[in-house]
Amino acid sequence: MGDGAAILAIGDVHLGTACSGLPDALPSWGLDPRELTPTAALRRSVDLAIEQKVDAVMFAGDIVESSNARFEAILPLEDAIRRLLAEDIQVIAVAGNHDFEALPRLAAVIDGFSLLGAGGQWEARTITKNQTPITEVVGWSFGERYVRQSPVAQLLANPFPAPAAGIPRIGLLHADLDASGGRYAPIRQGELDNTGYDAWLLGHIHKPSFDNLAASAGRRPSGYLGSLVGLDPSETGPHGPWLVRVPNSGPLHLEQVPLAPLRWEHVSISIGGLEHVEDVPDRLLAEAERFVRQFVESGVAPQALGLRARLTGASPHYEEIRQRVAAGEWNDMGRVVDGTAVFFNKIVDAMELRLDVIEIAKGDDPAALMAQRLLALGRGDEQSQVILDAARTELGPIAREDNWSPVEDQRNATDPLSNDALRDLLMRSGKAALNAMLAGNPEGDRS
Amino acid sequence: MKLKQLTINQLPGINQPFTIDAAGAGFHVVFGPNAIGKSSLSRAVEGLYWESRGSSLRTSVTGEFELDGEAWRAERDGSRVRWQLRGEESAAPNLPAAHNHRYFFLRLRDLIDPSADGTHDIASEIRRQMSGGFDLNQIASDLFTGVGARHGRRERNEFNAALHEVQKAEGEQAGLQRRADQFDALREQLTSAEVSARRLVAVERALDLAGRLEEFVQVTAEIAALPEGLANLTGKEVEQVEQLQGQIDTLDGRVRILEGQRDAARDAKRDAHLDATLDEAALAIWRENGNELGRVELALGTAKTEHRASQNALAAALSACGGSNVDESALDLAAHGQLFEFLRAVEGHGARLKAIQERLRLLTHVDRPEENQRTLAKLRSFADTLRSWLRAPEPETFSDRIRARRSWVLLAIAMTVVGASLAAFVDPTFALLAAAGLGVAIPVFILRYLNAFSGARAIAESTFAKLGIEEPEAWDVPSVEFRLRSIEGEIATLDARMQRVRDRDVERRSLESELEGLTEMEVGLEERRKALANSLKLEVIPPDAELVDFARALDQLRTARINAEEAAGKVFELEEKCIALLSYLANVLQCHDEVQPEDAKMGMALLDKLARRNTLLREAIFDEKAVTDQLEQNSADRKRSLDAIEKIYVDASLKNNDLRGLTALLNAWPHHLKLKSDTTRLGGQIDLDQNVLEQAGEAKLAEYDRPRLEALQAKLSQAVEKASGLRDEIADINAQVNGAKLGSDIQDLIATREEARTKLLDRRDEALFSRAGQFLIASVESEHEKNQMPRVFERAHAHFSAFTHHKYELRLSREANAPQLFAVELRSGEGQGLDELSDGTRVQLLLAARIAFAAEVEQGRTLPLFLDETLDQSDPERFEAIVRSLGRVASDQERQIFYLTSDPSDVERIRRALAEENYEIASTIDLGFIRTSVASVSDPLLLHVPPRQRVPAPEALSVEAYGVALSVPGFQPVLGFAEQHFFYLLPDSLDLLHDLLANNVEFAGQWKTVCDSALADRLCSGEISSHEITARTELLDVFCELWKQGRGRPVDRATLENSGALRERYLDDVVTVAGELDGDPERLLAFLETNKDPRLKGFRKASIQGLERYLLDNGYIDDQPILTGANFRLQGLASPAANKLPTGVASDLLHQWSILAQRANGLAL
Repeated sequence: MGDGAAILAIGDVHLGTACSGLPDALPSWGLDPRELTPTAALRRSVDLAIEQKVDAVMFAGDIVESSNARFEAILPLEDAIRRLLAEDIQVIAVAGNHDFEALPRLAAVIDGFSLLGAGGQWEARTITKNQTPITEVVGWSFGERYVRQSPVAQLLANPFPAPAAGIPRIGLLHADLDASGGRYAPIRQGELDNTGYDAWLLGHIHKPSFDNLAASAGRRPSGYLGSLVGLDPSETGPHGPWLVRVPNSGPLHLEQVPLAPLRWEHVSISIGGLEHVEDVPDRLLAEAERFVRQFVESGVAPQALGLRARLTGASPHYEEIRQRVAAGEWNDMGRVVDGTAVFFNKIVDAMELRLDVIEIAKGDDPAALMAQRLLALGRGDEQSQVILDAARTELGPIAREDNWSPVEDQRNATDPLSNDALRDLLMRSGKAALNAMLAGNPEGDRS
Repeated sequence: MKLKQLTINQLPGINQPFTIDAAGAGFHVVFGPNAIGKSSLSRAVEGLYWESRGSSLRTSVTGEFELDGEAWRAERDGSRVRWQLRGEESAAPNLPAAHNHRYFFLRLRDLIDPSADGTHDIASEIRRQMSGGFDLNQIASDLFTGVGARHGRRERNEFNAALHEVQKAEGEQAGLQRRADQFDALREQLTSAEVSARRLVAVERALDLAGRLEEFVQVTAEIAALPEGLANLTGKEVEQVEQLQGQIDTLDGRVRILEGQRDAARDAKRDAHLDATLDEAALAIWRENGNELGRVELALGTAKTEHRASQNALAAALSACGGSNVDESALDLAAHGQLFEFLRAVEGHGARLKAIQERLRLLTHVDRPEENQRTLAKLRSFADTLRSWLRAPEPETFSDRIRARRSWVLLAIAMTVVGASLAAFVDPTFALLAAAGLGVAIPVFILRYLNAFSGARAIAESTFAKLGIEEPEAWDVPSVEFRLRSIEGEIATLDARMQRVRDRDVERRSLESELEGLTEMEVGLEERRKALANSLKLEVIPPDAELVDFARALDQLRTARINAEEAAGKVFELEEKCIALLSYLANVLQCHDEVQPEDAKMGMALLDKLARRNTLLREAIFDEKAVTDQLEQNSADRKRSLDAIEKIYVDASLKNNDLRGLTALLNAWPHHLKLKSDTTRLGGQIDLDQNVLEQAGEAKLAEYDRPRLEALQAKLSQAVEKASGLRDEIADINAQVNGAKLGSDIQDLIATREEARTKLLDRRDEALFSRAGQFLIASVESEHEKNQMPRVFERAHAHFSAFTHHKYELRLSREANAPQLFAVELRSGEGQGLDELSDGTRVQLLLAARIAFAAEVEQGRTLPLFLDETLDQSDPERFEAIVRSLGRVASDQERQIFYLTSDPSDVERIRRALAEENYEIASTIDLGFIRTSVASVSDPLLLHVPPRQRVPAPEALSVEAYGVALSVPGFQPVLGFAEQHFFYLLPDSLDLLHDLLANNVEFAGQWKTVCDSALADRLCSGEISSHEITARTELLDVFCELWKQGRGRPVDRATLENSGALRERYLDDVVTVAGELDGDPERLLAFLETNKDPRLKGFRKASIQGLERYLLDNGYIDDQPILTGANFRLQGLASPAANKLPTGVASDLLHQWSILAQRANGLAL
């Protein structure tokens, strides 16, 4: 096997889409939004693969967006594949639920582009280096939009013969790990473990679930590669391809290269101590700048950094700030810091009241009752659950209104009636209500 | 407080006194015909309570009451009311304020009033009590704006539009993809068409080839039939023969002309009289000599003219010098120089002499040296006097003198005084010192005197005055010095003048000496003049001025003589040259038969003539040769023409000069020529065709006959026609695919869609935030209301629930300024205001509210209630419910309730109703009998009330059989839990079910108000507690919601109207169909799709699509997946409600409901 092998593993790319949540002012900061797209991220990844002289590049499905999988997304993909093949870098991919139609078409027209497991059948492919096998990749592709059975069960039922001694085996799959049912190839971690493969590189979920780790003897890498670039503000943290080192002996080593040009982060920013409401944007920008500098110092500063900020702390101007936040007055605010455009995608209220809620809760008037609910929600105890259940019943009809049904199809959509979401919602509305109660009731001024 | 007895002595409308007795608490029924005085009872008691109530005229009423075990009596006469306690006058008991009268005296007309005013005061009071100091409604409306039906609709529409755009673009690209997928097939077809096109060309060429071959054979045959000689003709033979013959004739004519020219040339040769042509160079030399002769002759003439002029000049010069003698004199150049030198010496001498004499005259008159000498001596004396004055010492002043000798004087004085003093007082020897002082003083004074009398300057001044000259302005040093410098200046001037006199004297002496010398020179000059006259042979010596002119004439003579000699020499030289040249020309001309020339002009004329003769000879020789050459050429040309003519005839296979035959042959030649051309053309084309076919691999086509080729051509043409279309289509596909690949339309549209989705999410979050806030406030308010709920509302709530068999719930509206009571139907959840309620329900609500409020305002007095035909608007069911409830009120509160009615059958109905609660009528008062002694009811049948239909008891019936017995409606979870019959909640407790039904609790929605009531406590004392029933209703709610997932909502008229998809004429029929299909939207659409119902004839497909889109957009058709049995059960069991139920209950209920629901929907179990 020589010096071992290097593989660049890429998760969901979703070519044909643009990242959402970007401010309109981006061009005025000298940034072309097209440089933040999955296309741009793929181009960077290819550059990296060529620079690192990897032996192969693997895609874990959903390379292209289903709604745009015919033409617009194909050109950059063709370009990427041809560049890699021109450098003698093997290209292996499995199809996901978004590109189960597009990838077979592409594989048919580009020599050297290897689609693994087409038609929903497991397939093994050996990666060679100087005509010597270095790794075996076993993969499965979506053959239709929805697959409700676990494909790994099929693999376990009909396993492949063991590879040659010393050749590691990597599973490449687009699937829904540990999902209770579902239509996107639901699989269980236990199933993956039972295959005994040296690693499982998965696509579908956009949040990377690997750590930068060297697999120990008892721990084989298995998880999501994540999307190549955060496609919306919910896809926080570092994104980029994973460099998989396959040594001659010993466990595989995975390292993420956070080259995504756009990064999303959720941050908490305290407004405590601010005397004027007008100071809030300055505080926000100052914190944003500080945040960017952390990235710059650690050498992983992206071209653009989108922030979702939770305003914390207490302010005497609680209601005015809350209203401005609710009106989105400070959204899309940003600036360029050390070459990185940082902006606020959204600012949400998580402020504390300047009230002694515990003291207020000792009464029996409506304010006290509201304070009791806030305290209970904060504790998360049984009473909290009662409140949440009641609220869920109350809010259910609204949340389930057909009018909002498109929201459920949003990428990384979360259940607004989940305990966490509901608790956050109730806390925010309850605080606003309590603040208003006490502000509008002189007798009830207990701050 | 209880009314024990009421006596009405007089009231408006009542003149005959009467008394009624009431026996304690309970439900009293007062009946009697209209106008018997039932309402007067109310007015009478009202008048006893409050002076302000009731009429003051003709009023005399007495009432006896029991309050807290004590007897009270009230009497009213007119407007005055008097109270007695235990027989003594007393103040009135603490009764509610008069304005509260309507809570105790309830009349039907007040209770059916639909205006909000009916409950406003009650509602306001309730609201005031429950507010807790917070304006929660205002907070809710300010912070959590109500989420209306249109909330987020615009964002949804925008999303739908964006989604539609994406889908549309995607659809277009899908179409393009399909076209692109056909690309290879199209390419194949095109290739095939192109092959056909290429083959078609070959076939067409083969067809042409076939035609050409046929033509070629025909032409070849025609050529073979023509004369043989035609093949060698060019078609111009006759013309050539004629042309050649013409040339021959022309040549013959030219020969004759040339021969004449040759003879003329020969004559010219003879006329030149030259044996041979002259050398042109020689002739040129001769001409040059002739020209030279001309020039020499011209120069000779000029020289002769100049010679004559010089002779004349010479004669004039001689004349100027005096004649011919002069010419003979030997006046050479040296003599001539001496003459001029002499003349200059004489001139110079005279001028110098004159100058000296003039200078001497001037010098003699200028100078007077003696006078100047005296003046100078005098001035010098003056100056000396002044200098001596200045050298004399300057006399001192007194002060100067004192200052100069002060030290000595002081010393002398000091020495004298000290010495004298010391001598006098110390020692006489000191007199020496005094003497020494005197010794010093004496010389000092002496010296001063001498200086003071010095007189040197005075002497000088005196002397100067004597000289008689101007003195200095003052005798002081500056003035004297100024005057001295003035005199010294005059002395210097005078000295200079004396020096110039001396210099002129020296000059004069020198000039006088020179003058003497010049005088001596005049002698020498005279001698030289004489000698010169001799040498010039002048008899008289001319004056010096004439002598100068003569000298000049001599010079001119000498020059004229030289010129005359030079002119004569030149004439001679030219005459010699002229003779030589003329002689040479004469020789030449004579040699060529010309005369001797006399001069240059003639010579040149003769030379010209000779040249012309030479030219004539030369031209004649040339002409002769040229003509001879042409004659030879003509001869040769003529022979060639003859040969050519002969050849033409030979080629045409004719005899020589057979012009007629040749003409005839040529007439046939064009046709022959055309045929030959055709063969050539055809042959070439045939070769070309065959080559092309061979190169195209279609050589065999050359062997095909025309019909076969034409058939093939037709076949291929059809294929070719497709090629253009295919090519265009392929190019179009390529262009569109490339455009699509390079574009970002869908990506942009997706971005727009996602932005729209985000906005929609934000709107949903807003809605949830508002609803969460409202929920919390409502929750707080509810809890506060529950904790702090005023008794009045609690009682009203309980009364109303009881009055309506728990089908309605009393609510208080949240309008801050005008709170209202309203009813909520628990089965549907629909709230209804007073004006929206039926009269019966409204009566129930107001009755409940007022009875409740009566207790609030009576402050423990428990006043009797008078209900004046209050239940007339109630149906039997409601009547019973109200009476039962009032019976409980009367029993619980120990209250008297007087029900006033004109319907005697009410007595029996009230009795039965109270019996349901185990109560009895407290008393029945037949007011008609009391007042008229005639019973109000004469026929017992009038009092008959049919018994109410009883709820069958389960007894030994099975669950299913009991359900049938109850006529339980089908299980329809899609309608929601509140609509479900209690049968489905309590399949395991039919007795409890019976009890609930017997109390008119039929549907699950009613449990909300029953659960906390005494009824619940009473009925649920067995195995199933009210809490469990509550949990079962919650589980049913969960089940219904899960069931509805993916099944949408039922469609009704409002839905169909709101869709806007249906035309007016079909609306009713579609509503009917929807009803027939239980409002199932999907079945309705399927039904409409079949388009078979005659009612819907002409129903348009667009309407179906519009309706479908509306139903989809608005959730009537839910595209979520329908939960499978396992998931259904799992989620149901995981709900909080299931956890509250005993083990197995939830599972059993879910199982049963699931089966019932599937069965009801016609699904396989």
